[in-house]
Amino acid sequence: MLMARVLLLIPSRTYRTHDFMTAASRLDVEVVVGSEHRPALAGLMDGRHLRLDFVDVSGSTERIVAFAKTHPLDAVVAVDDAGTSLAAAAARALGMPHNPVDAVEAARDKARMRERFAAAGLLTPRFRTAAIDADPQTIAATVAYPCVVKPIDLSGSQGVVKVDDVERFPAVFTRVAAIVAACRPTGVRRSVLIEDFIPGEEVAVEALLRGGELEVLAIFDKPDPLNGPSSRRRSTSRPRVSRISGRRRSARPRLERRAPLASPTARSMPSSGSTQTPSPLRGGSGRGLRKAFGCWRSPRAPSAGSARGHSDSGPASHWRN
Amino acid sequence: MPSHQRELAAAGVMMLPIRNRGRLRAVAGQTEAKQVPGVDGLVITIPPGELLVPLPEGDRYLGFMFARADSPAAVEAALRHAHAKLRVLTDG
Repeated sequence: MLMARVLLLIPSRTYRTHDFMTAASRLDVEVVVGSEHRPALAGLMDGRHLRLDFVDVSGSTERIVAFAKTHPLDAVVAVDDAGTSLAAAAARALGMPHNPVDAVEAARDKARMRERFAAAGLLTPRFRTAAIDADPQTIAATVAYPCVVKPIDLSGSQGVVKVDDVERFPAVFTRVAAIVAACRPTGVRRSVLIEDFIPGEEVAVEALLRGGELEVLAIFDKPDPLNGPSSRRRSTSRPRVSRISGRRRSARPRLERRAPLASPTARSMPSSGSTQTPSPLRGGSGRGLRKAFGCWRSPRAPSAGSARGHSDSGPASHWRN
Repeated sequence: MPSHQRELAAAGVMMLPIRNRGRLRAVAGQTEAKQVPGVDGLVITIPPGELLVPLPEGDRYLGFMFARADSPAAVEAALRHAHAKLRVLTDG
């Protein structure tokens, strides 16, 4: 039987390579590494490496299609956010199962994702965007506090800062704008997202989306919510502890409270346009589902839950914002 | 692809924060951290010699620590206890 061949898109700074390679080995899958740089052992990797520019989706898709003519591929999988658009475009070009490229791009854009959630009738915090060269003093007067300032498309909490009052807003805005500028020196998304901070308990849902069906893998409690006035230390360097509620008796009440979270999470999928993920997707949330997949308000039935996006660190997915 | 069964035990992960800017020399105390009851995994994902940049400018965690226990509270306590044993050594 022929061994399946998978193209893994691996950004140079990712830490997830080891897990994917281990899984591939366990599944007896041949891996072709697609990366932005030529590995030191590229000379020994004939047919096992493809140098790609993850930003140049069109050009890199052409390279992948050309490569696949001599090295047929069974899947293209991004191991990190940076490769998700290219993975979807290449999979489409090769006739493989894939999410709509537009949905993948929207999932990486926090503003577009919130617009889609709102358009789908899902609860989402009030938000706006602002160009990084806008006057922060002017914006400060139009914002409700506390709020959160964050880049449109970065992940891992990079550039995410809570602002408690109008006096602190200009400095925070300038700081986040500098982060965006540094990450996008020639960027196309030179703006930031400003949204209401919603206090409450925070959870994260990890799930697989296959053929539009959501399979919840884990629901994390996230201790240390950033409620109340925030100190700089708390907001920028707190340990992030996530814990999964087990099914033992002591944890059952908490788990049962979490059960309705899957519903708004699932409801968010059609609004994103995604149909599947090659690896677990993730979203965080505030009390109920407020921070990430949605705004859950307890009096409502599960089907009335809602969703909104939130970037977080985690496995690559075609749906995560 | 088969369905996935969720574990019965409570489990957790701590994203290890970067508190101070500097070039990573070593992360001491890993052996002691791994010996904390409940802790079943610790991986430092930034190699020695690389620059550590705290949030919000930074784009990476120092690493990840995993634990399993009878209850979510026990998991969280194990992670916090083990984290307290780590010492991040940097130059500059």
